[in-house]
Amino acid sequence: MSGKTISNEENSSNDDSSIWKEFNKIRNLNFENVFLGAIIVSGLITIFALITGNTLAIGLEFSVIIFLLLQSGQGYDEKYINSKKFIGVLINFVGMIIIFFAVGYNALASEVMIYVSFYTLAGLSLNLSTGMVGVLNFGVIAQIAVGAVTYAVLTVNYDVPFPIATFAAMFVSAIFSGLIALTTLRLRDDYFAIVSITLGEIFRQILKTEVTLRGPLIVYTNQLGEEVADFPTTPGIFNIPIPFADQYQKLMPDHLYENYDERFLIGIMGFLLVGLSYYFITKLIYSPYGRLLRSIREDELVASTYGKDIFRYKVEVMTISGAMAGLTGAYTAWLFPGIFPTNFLPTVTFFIWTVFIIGGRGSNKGILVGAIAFTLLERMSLFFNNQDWVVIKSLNDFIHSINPDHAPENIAMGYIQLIIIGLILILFIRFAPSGLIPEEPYRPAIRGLKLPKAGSQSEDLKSGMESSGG
Amino acid sequence: MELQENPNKATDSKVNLGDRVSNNNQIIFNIIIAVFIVISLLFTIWGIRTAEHYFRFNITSLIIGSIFLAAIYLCISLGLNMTYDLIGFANFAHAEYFIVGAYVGVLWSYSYDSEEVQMFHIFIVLILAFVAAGLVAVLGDVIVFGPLRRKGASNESLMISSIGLGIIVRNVVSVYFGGGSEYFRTPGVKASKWPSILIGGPDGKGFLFVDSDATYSVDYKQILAIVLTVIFVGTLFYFLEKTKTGTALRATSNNIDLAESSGIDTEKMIKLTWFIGGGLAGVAGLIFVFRNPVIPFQGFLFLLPAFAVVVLGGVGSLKGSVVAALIIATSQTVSKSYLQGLTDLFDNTGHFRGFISGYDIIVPFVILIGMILIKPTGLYGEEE
Repeated sequence: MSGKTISNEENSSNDDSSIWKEFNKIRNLNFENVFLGAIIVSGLITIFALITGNTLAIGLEFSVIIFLLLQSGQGYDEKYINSKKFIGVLINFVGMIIIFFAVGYNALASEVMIYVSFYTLAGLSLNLSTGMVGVLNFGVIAQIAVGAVTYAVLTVNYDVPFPIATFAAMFVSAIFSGLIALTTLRLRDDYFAIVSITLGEIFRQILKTEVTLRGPLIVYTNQLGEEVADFPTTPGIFNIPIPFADQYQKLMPDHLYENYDERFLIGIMGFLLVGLSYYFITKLIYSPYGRLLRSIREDELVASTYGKDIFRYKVEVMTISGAMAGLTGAYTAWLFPGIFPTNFLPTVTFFIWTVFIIGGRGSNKGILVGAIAFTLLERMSLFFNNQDWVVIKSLNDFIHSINPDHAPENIAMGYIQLIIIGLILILFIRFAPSGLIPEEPYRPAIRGLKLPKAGSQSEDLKSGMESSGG
Repeated sequence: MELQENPNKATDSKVNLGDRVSNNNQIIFNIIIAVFIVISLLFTIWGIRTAEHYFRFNITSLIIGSIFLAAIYLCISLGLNMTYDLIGFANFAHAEYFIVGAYVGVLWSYSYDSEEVQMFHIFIVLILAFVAAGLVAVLGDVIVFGPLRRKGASNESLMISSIGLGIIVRNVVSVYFGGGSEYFRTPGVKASKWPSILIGGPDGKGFLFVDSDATYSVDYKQILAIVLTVIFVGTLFYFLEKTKTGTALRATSNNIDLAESSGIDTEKMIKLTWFIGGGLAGVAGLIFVFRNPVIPFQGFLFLLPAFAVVVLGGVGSLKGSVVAALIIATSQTVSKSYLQGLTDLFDNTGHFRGFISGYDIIVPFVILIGMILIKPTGLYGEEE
């Protein structure tokens, strides 16, 4: 009977949606043009930047990226448009990096690469725990901090080679996350959120006060005249070795090393890590296991009636996301010149959540695009740091007129930019809760049999009922 | 009532049994609290008797400091508790109302050049801070939470929006004042002497005085802050219990649909809750800034202890919050001096200075997590 139903459906959908198919074709064609146009314009801008070195190119390229992001994907063929949008944003982002190097903002280009990698890695970890099974994980920074400190302590104080230290970071962070999940996941959602954010703060406090989590060891002579190695008195771990840094410096000619220094190397390694983890997590998400996780997120009751142990799967996913966060932690240890407690403030968790929300929960493509958008937004304030602008100047005058003695000399653009980030978070939650690139409804083909498109279950039901009734 | 009129033995015994069980729970919690108080008392007495030479331990400053801290925690957490109970989400922006109150106090303190006059006019800034923070809270509800609530958004969405709102408020304050620390400016005129006479001052003479060698400070501003908190919280309880509006507010937070069908303007009650809750947080900020420098991030540092108070006392139970604030503040203050003493005892070289005394900040967090794991409804919370 089922086969009959499906064949009926195919027929009926062929009949019904012929107009829609035409519309769709035109729409896709239109978007194809938009997409190609954006890439060509971006290429032209890049060439313009390479030839003239004019900083105007940055603004132009930025507006192209925003234009691409604003393209609505909520049409009939959402998946097609979203994937094109994704590719378009990636190409434009690479163009942006090239432009940064072309106009001489080398340091900025490396920073953008590094932070895009960082936010993507952290966002992928959050996407596993929150996006896939719907655990309200506000302790991302705790997971990352555990990994980072493990990596840093092992490499700095005990001279462990970096691959082993990276795996140790992943392992420790995974165990940590698994333990949190085991003890607290049976709680209400918002209680879990509070507990996870509190654990982050506890770990930060431990990092501040615990002596053994400091480095490198300082050698001094005690009263007996013996040389003793001891932990330093101030919190923080310095001199964290960056993998391949020495080889890279030897390999690069000096005039190139000036522009493409260590930070560039870290950015490139970040891209590699992002590529690897993106590949594996996408594999995981579209596997039967990933489907099971999403079913838990959608309706725990249904999943448990099918005999699935929901709690076990939640703990497993938290563990995997902990491993991912541990990898992010190892990366964090490279990207800062030293690890301090202030690197792991809860605000970083909120930034990662912003990436997650504006990108699109549950969608890996969204996380990558969200990280790019967020990082560009965060770094763009460097260009708008112009106190002579009318808006900024009038705001500054206004503040000085009310608070003449104690107002700061100039408005720090960092604050304005954070206000914008908060606004964007609120606006996205209110008007576009599914993000820039929403999660794609996904149904696999079963034994070569093509099932009807996802997201139209009600229509399936209707046509099925009609066919059985007739 | 009906049971008495129409007695039925079976149901009667069941009711009694249920009552006994809840009474037992209540007794257990009262015992826990009593044991806690006794232990802390013993500990403080032991501290006075034996360890005052080693520990920087002084009973007066300990008690006053604990109550002062408890006052701050209580004022923040009452509003948090009310909105958590009424709307049902953890408001991460609540700590920013604290900041608003604190900075209103800072701004106001610029305009005085005599401390006596300033302290005499303290009620002006109290009302200012209350109204300013309350208005910010109401504005947050009107602009951010209200539309989401009416759309039927999940608690998760409300929580994330509250994070956004918190970021915005904190950074608006930062734009205005810069990121550095600001002080409540007291003009350098000599302060009035009466609190020192009552409690004991550095000269070693006073009513409650203990040891003349101890170095500590009990500021009259601390006493003032405690008195103010008692007045505010007492007024709030009176308002909630005795007035008609307060009863309507309690009814709304108990069951919003039922309240609406009884003709209560629930939307107005929600706004009122935001105003009172935000205002109390503003008062907490003012009390804090009396004695301490404030930075824009300070509010966030008070958010998690406030959550600890709410969870320990029980969501929806304001009296529980009072007890919980006292417990958490006392344990934090006591553990601070205890850990400080341990550091002084074991660290002769000074090499590890502060290696353990920093852990006092963790105490509320540990209580929070422990309470959530053992009994998520809190000491006085309703069973779900």
